[in-house]
Order: sequence, then C-alpha cells, then structure tokens
Amino acid sequence: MRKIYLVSLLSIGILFSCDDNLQLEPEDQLTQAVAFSNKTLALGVLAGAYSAAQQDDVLNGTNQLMGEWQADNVDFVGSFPTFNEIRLYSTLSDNGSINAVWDDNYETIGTANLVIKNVPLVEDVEFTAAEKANAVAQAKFLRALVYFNISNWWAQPVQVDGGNGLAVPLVLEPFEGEVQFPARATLNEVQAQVERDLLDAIPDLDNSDNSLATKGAAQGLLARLYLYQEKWAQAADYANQVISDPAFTLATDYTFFDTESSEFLFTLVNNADDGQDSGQGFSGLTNPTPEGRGDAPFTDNLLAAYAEEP
Amino acid sequence: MVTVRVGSENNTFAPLTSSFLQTPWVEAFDENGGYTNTGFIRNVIAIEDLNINDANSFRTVGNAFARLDLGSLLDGLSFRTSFGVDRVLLEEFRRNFDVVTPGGTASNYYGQQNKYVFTNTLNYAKTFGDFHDLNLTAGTAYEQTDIRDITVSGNTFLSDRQINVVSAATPETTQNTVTGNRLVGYFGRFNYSYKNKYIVEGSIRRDGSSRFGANNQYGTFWSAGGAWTLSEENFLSDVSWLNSLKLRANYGTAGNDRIGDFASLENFEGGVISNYNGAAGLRQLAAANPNLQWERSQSYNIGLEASVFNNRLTVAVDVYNKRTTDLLLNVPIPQTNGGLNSILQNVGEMENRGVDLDISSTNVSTPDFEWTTSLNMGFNTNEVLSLPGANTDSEGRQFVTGSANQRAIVGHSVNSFYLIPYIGVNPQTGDAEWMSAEGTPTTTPTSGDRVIVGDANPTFVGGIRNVFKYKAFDLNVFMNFSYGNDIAIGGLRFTENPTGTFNKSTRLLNVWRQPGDNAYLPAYDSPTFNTFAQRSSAQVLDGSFLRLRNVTLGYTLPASVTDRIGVIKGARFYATANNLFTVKADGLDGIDPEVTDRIANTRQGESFFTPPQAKTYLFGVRLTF
Repeated sequence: MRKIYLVSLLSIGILFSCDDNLQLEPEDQLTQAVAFSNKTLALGVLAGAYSAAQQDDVLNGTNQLMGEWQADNVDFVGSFPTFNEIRLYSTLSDNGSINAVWDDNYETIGTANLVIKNVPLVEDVEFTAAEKANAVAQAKFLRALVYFNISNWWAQPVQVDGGNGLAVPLVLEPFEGEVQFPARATLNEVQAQVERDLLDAIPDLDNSDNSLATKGAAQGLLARLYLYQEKWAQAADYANQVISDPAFTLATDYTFFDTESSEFLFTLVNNADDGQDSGQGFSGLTNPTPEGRGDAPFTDNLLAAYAEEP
Repeated sequence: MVTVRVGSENNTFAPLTSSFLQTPWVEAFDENGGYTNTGFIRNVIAIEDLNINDANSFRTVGNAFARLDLGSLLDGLSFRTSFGVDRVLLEEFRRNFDVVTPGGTASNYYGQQNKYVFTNTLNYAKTFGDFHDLNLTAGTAYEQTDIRDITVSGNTFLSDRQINVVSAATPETTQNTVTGNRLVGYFGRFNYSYKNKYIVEGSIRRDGSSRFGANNQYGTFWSAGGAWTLSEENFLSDVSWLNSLKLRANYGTAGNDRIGDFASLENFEGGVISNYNGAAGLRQLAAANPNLQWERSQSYNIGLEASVFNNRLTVAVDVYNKRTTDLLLNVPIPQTNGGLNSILQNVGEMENRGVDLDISSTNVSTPDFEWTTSLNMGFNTNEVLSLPGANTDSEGRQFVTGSANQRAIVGHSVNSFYLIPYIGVNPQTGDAEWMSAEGTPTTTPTSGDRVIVGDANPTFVGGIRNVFKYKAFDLNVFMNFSYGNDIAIGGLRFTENPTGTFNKSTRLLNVWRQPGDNAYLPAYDSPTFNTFAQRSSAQVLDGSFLRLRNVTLGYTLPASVTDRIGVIKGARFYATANNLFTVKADGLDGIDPEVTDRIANTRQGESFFTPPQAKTYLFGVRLTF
C-alpha cells in the first residue's frame, strides 16, 4: 500500500516539476536587451540595417526600377500586374508592390533608429566612444538615404509647392513595443531631417571602406539634396569636397560595375545569399530568361545610348 | 508514405496555374522533340516528366499505461498513468532539372517532430444503491513537443545525371531551426447518473501553455451539463410509437492556444537575412506581447434526440451558441513601426450560433430490399461582436484586415470580403464602372469605395447519404454540399487582365465597340482598359456547390456459395467512384469551389487557382477468412 502511495506521489511530483518547463526559451530569438548588451551584438544590429537595405524594395532594384519604368528606360513585360500598373501610371491604392516598398524602407529606418538610440547606451569597455559615434553616423547616413529616396516618391518636388506639401511620416525613434500612428510630415521637414542627419554623420565617418557608409557618400548625398533644393552654392561646395577627395576616382570604363571600385562613394555589396530575394530585385527582373525572369528588359533607346559610350 | 507532389495556387510551377496563364502558341517541345524552357510561366509538361518533388513521412506512435486498482484503500478507486510518444519524420526532396531551371536546383528538407504526452488520473467509480452511478476523476497532463528541421539546397549542376545537393556548385541554403512548446494541465471531472434517466456532469481544468506571455500562461476552464431521458418516464411509457426521447444541455468554457511557438516574444534574428557582406547581423522581426493569453470561448448547447416508429426515423437537433473572447488575431500596425506588419494580440469577441440537424430514416424495409437515407446539415452564423483598439472604417465599424480581400468587421462575419463593387461595362460609354461610396457609378474607384461584397462562410453545409440494399447487392450514394459562401479567385486578376502578357480568358473577346454593346471588356481606348482587372468584387464568385462525393456498388457472395468454396468465410466485390460530378456556379470553369489556398482564420475562401479534386475509380474485392 505504501508503495502505491509512493507511485502516485512520485507521478504527481514529476508533473509539478514539469511546470517549470512552461518557461521554454527559444534557441535563436534574441531580445533587444541582449542585442545591445555588448559591442559585437550592437554592431550586429548595424549590419542588420545594411541587410534590411539589401531588400529588393529598398536599395536593390524595385525601388529604382519604378522610376525607370515610368521614364521608359526599362520596359515591363512580366507577370506582376502591380509593376505594370506603375509603368502605365494606373497605380491603385491596393498596389502590393508599393506597399512593400513602404514597408521595407520603414524597416530599414527602424533598424537605423535602433542603432542611433541604443548604441550610445551600450555598456562595454571594449566599445570606444569613437566607434560608437562611427556606428551612429553610419546609421544616420542610411536613415538619410532612405528618407531622401522615399520622400522623392511620396511628395511633390520642392519646385511644385515650395516643399510645403506632405511627404512621408518622420519616424526617428525605434519601435520598442508602443505602436505609434505618425502623420505625414512636409517635404521641407523631411529634407531638413536628411540634412541634419548628414551633417551629424559627416564628422564621424571616414573613407576607409566604401562597402559601408563613407564620409564621401554623406557629402555626395548632401550635395544632391542641396541640388534638389536649388541651393546651388552649397551643392557645389559639397560636390567639390567629394571630387577633390583622393579616396575617390572616376573609373575609365564600365568594368567597374560589379566591383568595389573607388568610383563608388558607397556600394551596397550583395553576396550570393543576399538580396534579389524572390527574383524581384534588379538582377532578377532585368536579366533575360532563363538566368533571370526577363520581366524588365532595357529599352532599345537605353541600349543605344550605352552603345555610344566608348 | 511517399507522395509525389505538384505545385498549386500562386506558383507558376503549378500545372493548373500555368495552364491558365500559358499563352497557346508556346511550344512545350522543340523541333528535335526536346523540352523547351518556356520562361516565367513554366513548361509544366517538362516539370511533370523530369522534376523530382517527393514528400516522405514516417510516423511512429506508441502508448504505454499502467492501472492500479486501489480498491483495498477505497472501493471504486483506481489510478492510471499513461505515457505516449508520437514521432513524425518528414522528408522532402526537390530537383529541378536544367531545362526547367537553368543549371538545375536541388533541395532537401528533413524535419523531426517528437511529442510526449504524460497523463496521470485518479478515478473513483461506484454505484450506490441500485440506481446511483457516480464517477469522479482528477488528473494531470503534460505535453512536450520538440521540432527540429534541416534544409539544404544548391544550384548549378554540371549534368541532370547528378541528383543531390552534393553535386551543386553553388550552395544556397544550409539551415536548421528548432522550435517547441509545452502544455501543462490539471483537471477534475464528475458524472452522476440516476437510472440512466437523469445525468449530471461537470468538469474544471487549468491549462498552461508556453506559447503565451510570461504574465498569462495559465487559463481556467469549466463545463456543466445534464441529460434527461424522457422516454424512461412513466408518463411516456404508453406512447407506443416513441422508442426513445432524450433532452440534453450543457454550458462550458474552453481555451485555444493555436498560435505559433514563441509568438509572444520579441525577436532579434540573425542568419542570412540579417548579414551584410560577410558580417553577421541582427534584425528586429517581431514585437513582444507579454500579456498574450488564451483565447476563450463560452458555449451552450441544447439538444433533442428522438427515435420513433420502431426506430425507422431518428432525429437529432442541436442548437448552439459559442461566444469567443480574447480572440487571437494578428493585428496589423502601421509599418512605420519598424517595418513590422502586425502584432499578435487578444482582441475582441466573436459569436458563432446555429443549428445542427441529423435525420436518419429507413424508407423501405422488406426482406429483399432496404432503402435508408441520412441527412446532416449545419446552419451557422458568424458575427464579430467587438474589436477593441482596432481601426474604424468609413462607416464607423471597427475591423481587422485579414488579407487584401477580406476583413473581420464588427457586426459582420469574421471573413467578410471587403472590396470595390464592380458594376460592368457601361453600354453607352464603353467604360468599366464600379460603385462609388456615394452610390454613383465611377470609372476611377478608390479604396474608399470598398464595401462588404461577400462572406466566405456558408449559410449551411451538409451531406446526404442514400443506401439501397437488394438481396446481395448494395448501393451507397453520398453527396455533400455548401450553400451561401463566396470565394475570391486571385488568378482572375491575371486571366481577365487585357494588358498583361499572359494567356487571357475568351471572355475578353467581347470588347465594347459602339454605343449599345453589352460588352465584357471596356473599349480599347477607354481609360478603364488598364484598370479593368483591378481587385474588386469581379473576382468574388459564388462558392456554393453540390458534389457527388462517392458512389459505391457492392455485391456480397451468398453464404451458400462461400460455404461451398470452403476456404473463405465471405467475399464482397465492389466498385467505387469518387467525385463524379460537381454542380457549381458560373465562372468557375476549371476552378474547384472548395478553395484551399489559405489556412489562416482571417483568410478563408481565397484561392489563386485551386486545382480540381481528382476523380477516382476503384474496383475491389474483400475476402474474409
């Protein structure tokens, strides 16, 4: 009889100890607290910002091809009705491809925001103030580049309404659990932020590695911003700073295209396992079949223009 | 079990999808008889003949239990412990050969799921006096599921004669993932019955799931019910045509944890999606919800079972109402929040109410011939009662978006199709017209013109079975049906699109040319020519159907014959046909009304091109020895 008691109690005892198993931890999901707990992990989030920017819809193709379709440099003969709508200027509000561009660009901004806010707070003696400042500056460059790109799509240019028209929501804080419903900022407000981010970033960037944000890239983007704003003197000033920088030289022919040539102020480097996800990126759409999808062939006049070059 | 598979739905490797979209002048074979690469819309004949696409599953189930009779301690007391193991091994191998995918690709997936269930119960069962049956149970349950999988893939093979990833020059994926969950439960039940005439039952349980937020892993659920066998009462004993009559009722609560593992936790994830130029990285992919808790439902059910006329007719009717609270839904959030699309939350209440009906009758019963019919029908109405915190539409109703086609809307079905209503081509102007929010036709509709245009949930579903027996022959005919549900066919945005590069439906030949034409397609120079195939109610079709699911004709050898043969005790020859015909709505040529593309709760009734279900014929003989 005592034995039976023992068996029952033992079984129930096993179960109560199983209770602790409800605190099951995932093996590959990190929390934000862990992600910013030391230098290595925090710089991993910065790499994640570049990785987010490698999505087709950010810096890897569709975002750039949209303009080419509308400008008749590239045709669209493929399957996506959403891309065809863009080419035909018949875009509707349920266009999923444009939604993806919006989503992925804000994801990149969100990752940059995480770095900008949290890297200075990382407690790690190995992480020097200069390294932290450089990481924040790289994130600010990426944020500026993305805001510059999307405000070109989602706003009328300065020349139309003096920059007082609505552009995109200006989100400068990372998402940390509290859902925000930001309103659209004006183009002037967005461009002022782009300018502020670039001016902040320039002193803390260098030109040592053009696969990452460089000082030259930040100066060049700032020159372009000023050009868009018709601030000719400032545009010329920043352009001259880049042109006179010995870190960058013009390539002599087009073979620089797939390299980290010093022609590039900043080049986003894709490896075999990167970008072009689902074949909807630049190379997937523009490469002819069977290697690519062949959805977006270059137009004859564009090919002729390139053929004229030496 | 090995299954050779084909693609389906929104996938150009799918035979049905490609047959809709492939232009008719594309050749599957070149002049030498070899397969051609047909580009983005694949050569499905080459895929079918060459490619490997196998799935292999192997399942081992085992259960051991021990029961201890504790009658010496207390009469009627016993203890039962059981331990179960359920192991599922899944293996998938795909190989696309050179003509389909230049260079070729191969991938191999290997997944192992281990599930352990450990249950302990203490039971007390005793009959007091002659008529009082009492049954009490208390117990605990523990369930552990661990899933580990591995995927490898690569491309660029020298030859189609090389099959596996080892021969691929370029590796694509080398990945393994691990997930799992734990469930803990404590429960008690009682059951009391008097003469089997009055029955009272009750239960209570407390369940914990590792899937929920740290603050809310446990939920408590209970139920109470009773039954009354009226036909046992004296006042009905004289009713000769009544064989049995039973009334039952119960009320109870239940929980649902059918969400993904670790769904309540935030996620900074590494891997190839987060790396940059050889450096490992992290990306924020999910937001935490530490308050995520069990979805709960309270339901009542009242039922009546009656059997009359020597059990020739039996009828069972159940009326139910199930109210679900703390609904587990992926609530979309503005993507400006770090590019995250949604957060899994407990939001709102939903009600399902309806009637289930079962009728069985023996229509004819003679020594040589018998005909029985059984019918079951379920009528259900689904209504979202509240969605606190959700967005509000232009009509002031709160909603949660499930897909581009549907929403859960307060006061309406959880699967309401919410789209721009399409009217047709105006015979006078040649423009396609949609209905605007103001109720006037427009050629330039916007998302603000969307209204509820359909419901993926049927008014009723059911089945009817007729069995005929004549001497040694038997004929079994089963039909099932669904009525009142709508389906959204995404593929129609391609086949009905006059500007795309795909094959088009012949309906598009009916173009508007002059005033008075009742055309399908707007005029070539109409500004609506390019927007004609936009997402609208034009892709929403009636999903009602009646399907002859199964017909079986059988012949059983008479005992006199089998006795003479001697070796066998019985033999039955039969012929079965499945899915012989389906009655369905117009516009569904080649499309199966039982769409299967989406499994999520808030994405029902949607398809790209659902492949038709196979017609199968089977002839057999069953021998008993």
